Amino acid sequence: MSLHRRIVDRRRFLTALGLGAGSLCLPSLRLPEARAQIDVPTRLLLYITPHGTVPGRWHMRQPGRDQEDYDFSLSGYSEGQFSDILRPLHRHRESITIVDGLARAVTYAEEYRVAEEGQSGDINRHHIAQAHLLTNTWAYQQASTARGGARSIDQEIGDAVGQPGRWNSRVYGFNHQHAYNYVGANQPAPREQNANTAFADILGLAPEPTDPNAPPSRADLIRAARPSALDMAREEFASVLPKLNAADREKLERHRVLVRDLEIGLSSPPSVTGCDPTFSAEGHIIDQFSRISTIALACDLTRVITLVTQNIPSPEFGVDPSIDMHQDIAHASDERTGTTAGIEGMVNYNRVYAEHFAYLLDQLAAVQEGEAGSLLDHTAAVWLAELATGGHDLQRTPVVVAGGASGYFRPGRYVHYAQTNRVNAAWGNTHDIGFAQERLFVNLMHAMGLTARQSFGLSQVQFGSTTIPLSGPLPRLT
Amino acid sequence: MHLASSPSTWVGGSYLCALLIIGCNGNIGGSPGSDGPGGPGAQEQLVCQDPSEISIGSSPVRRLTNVEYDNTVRDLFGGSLPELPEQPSDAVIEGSFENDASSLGPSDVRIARYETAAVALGEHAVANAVARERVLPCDPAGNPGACGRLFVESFGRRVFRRPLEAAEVDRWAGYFEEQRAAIDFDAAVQLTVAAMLQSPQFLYRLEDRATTGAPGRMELSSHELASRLSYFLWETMPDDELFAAADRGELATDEQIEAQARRMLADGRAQETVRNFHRQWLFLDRVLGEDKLPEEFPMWDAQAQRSAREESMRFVESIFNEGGTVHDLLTSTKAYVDDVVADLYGVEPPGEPWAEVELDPNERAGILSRIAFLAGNAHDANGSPPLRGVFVMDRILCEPRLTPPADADVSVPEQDPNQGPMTNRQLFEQRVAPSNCQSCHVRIDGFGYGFEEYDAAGIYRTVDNGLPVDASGFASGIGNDGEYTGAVELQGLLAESDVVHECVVKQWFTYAYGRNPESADACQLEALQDAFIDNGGRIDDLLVDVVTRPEFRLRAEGQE
Repeated sequence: MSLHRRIVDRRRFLTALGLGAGSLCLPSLRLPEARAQIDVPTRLLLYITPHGTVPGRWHMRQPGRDQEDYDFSLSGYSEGQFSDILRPLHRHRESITIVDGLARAVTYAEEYRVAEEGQSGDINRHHIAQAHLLTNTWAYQQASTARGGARSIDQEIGDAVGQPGRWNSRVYGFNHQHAYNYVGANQPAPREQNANTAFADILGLAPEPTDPNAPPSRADLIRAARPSALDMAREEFASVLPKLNAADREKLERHRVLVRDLEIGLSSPPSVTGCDPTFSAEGHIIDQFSRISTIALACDLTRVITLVTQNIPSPEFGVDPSIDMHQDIAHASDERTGTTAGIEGMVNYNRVYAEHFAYLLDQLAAVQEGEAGSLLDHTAAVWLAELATGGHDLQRTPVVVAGGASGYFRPGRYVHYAQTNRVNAAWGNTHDIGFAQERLFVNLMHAMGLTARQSFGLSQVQFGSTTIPLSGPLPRLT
Repeated sequence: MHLASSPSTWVGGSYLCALLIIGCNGNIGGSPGSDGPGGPGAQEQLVCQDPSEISIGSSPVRRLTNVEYDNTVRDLFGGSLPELPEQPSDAVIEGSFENDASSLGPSDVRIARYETAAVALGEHAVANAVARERVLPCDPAGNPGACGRLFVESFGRRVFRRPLEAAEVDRWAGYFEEQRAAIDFDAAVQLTVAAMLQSPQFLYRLEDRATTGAPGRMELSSHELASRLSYFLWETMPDDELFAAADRGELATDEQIEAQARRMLADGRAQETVRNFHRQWLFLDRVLGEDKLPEEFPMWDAQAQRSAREESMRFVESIFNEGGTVHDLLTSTKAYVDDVVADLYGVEPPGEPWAEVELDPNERAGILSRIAFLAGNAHDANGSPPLRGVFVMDRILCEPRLTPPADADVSVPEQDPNQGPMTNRQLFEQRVAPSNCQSCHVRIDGFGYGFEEYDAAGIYRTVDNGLPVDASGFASGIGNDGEYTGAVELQGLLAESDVVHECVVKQWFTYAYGRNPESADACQLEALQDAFIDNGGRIDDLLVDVVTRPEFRLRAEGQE
């Protein structure tokens, strides 16, 4: 069946259910008021941008307080008081938490292992930072370059909160070089970079339309028997699994669980209600994925999404196409040693990502979920960068947590963490850093209901005699 | 080893190459073989302790790759298959084979796509006349129940690549009967096909019917061995003849296996495998999407990229078909051209694609003087000696992949308008002049400068920017190290190198076993390498040697 036909079928199906655009007022549908009476789920969206930021043009710190923990309200801040890069987020200031002062402890630590402790491995900071960003653990180093060494946080949370018949998690967008999302060591999660396919997929689990009053046709009977075919296949795992070694068994056990999930999904297809599932592939590709993400979250077809942004072409941030983004902009954007063109180019580059992030927040905020608030109120939309800066720094990473995650986060604030943890890192370098960024995932797990979890990936890393904890949620965000 | 400054401080040009000092062996900091996360280091040293001992590396379960899945359903059903949903890519990253077992896992998207495909193929099995003929061994008109059972036995045997046990036949025939009673015979066929295509016995290459042999190892069943043969040499399921040989237990001796292997290598499916292997080994996909400056390369478009890739694939295919050697791969002047490639090579356009021509032996010989490699490892305006040199070291010599320092200036060096004209080589020489760059680049560019006779699109030249091209270099670490001028001479050296021959064996071994070589493979690899060099580097003989090794019939016991 062609993709095009699938999309048309889906639309026809949704129209048949009265779910096309403008149909949300039909009395047969669950009204927004009705939705408020059911539990509104909490959702997670990770928005990832390449390279890093220009710290002096990103932060909004209070002078002289770098060694203090503090936070302040963004309510009274004017647009002009917002930093150059974060200014596009001003209109969402009541819904965001700007998190300043975290550090990528695992990446520092993997460098340390290789440079100081004799481990072998690829320590190109792009490669390991990408491998670590969502996995919080040592990179998979048994290949030509570093890749993710374990399941990533989106998969972990998605599998825990996933609903039958719906995707546990989705990955949209692009690789910056390597994958960020992994279903297991060296196994990237499936990522969709075609918006139409992504849209067809989120609605594709529901069955073809049928008239409930008509006697079932032969095709209906066959369709209804599809779960039985899956069941037959799934039963075969019982005889296969015991003969396998641990690694293979884990892989095939995962397969069996996925078959069971699909079987449940086919047997009890999701009801798509209380949301507007219309989409057209227009506008910037990042914005397209933001709209698809909004549909998927609003229709509760998944609760966890990663949006890996496109590495935007130079003209989109006002730079000549002949300029090399990586070398001439990112590497030349250090505020002390870089070039004006590099610094300003990098500021614009990040501001454009902020504009797309603001657009995403617009979409989430526009979906009302009863009296309980908007979709954005029930979501943690987290902007993470590959690295802290264009020069590959790993401390003072630019992090923005948007949305309240159903009351878990306390948005509308700027949160600063003191840089008082001394790390003797690789190559004899000393860094004074704040908390490990890896701990933010503990907050996210708690926000998503995994409240017993105290760490994800490694629980601590060591630099000689110094230990940096990676367990426990970050303080002062809730 | 320590550095004076961390990568995070390397901004600007002064320290651009510093990490290369420690990165030159590709094994930054660590000693070779030291255990990395989750197991042995990426670049394990393989040393054979006792050549007489048979030792078996790991035998991970392998999911069918997308290529293998497509080939297998083609062979299962025949006819023109329905359009199937596109699966997520198997390629983790450039430089790993798509059949690497460690990365071939399931995912939600893949499982859903399998289901959609299985249902479509089930429908195809009853609706398409060719497929129906192949899937159904009997006419259901007489005794549909008995016919259903026969279908389960015959199709089940092909889809699971082994005879079904009696209990399995009962179970599947029971399912078939349920569906036949509930709907009808064809629906039962359709649903049974769909179910079997989603079974782990189809989607994974299980080797769980091996029997205990000598301590520490298991002997594969004849059907498991047949699948190893067919998925290595054909990337698809065994054909009827191979099945029959397995049924009769005629895959027991070296001679029997060799006879099957030789038969299979003469089949078109083996040529597809050879093409697919070289596509991945030599990064032939890299040329697709390699744009060149349109004002300088107006002939370079998407068609040129596709033609360039196809030309290299046809070249390796012809080398293989003619019993060719590594030497041929690196020195042959034969080429197959369409009008686009003929234009790039400066030979007479054939009018009709893929005519065989001989290239000027002074300009081009061997795979490394073909457009796909040259244009695929270049920038948009000129060639890249570092990219081309690293390619030789990584792909042809099997050296650990070099990681450039985080802040390496990888941009294209540009002519300073205040200086006189410079060649591409001179610009790169200036870039890597600092001594800390030289520690690696002296070797990398010792290979890379040899390709300076070809521009960004791989077109032969003797003049660059108005100056004569200097394509002299020094090939080191290849055993027969030496000076040379130009890619033809360089490949002549590589063609004689034992290191190159050993690397080719390692690449094929990795492809055959779906994993990197391990320490337990050291003796087998060494034996294969020795035989390969003794055989003059014949590629078809190498493949036969791989499958007739005793290890090919065994898997490790004690999988825990």
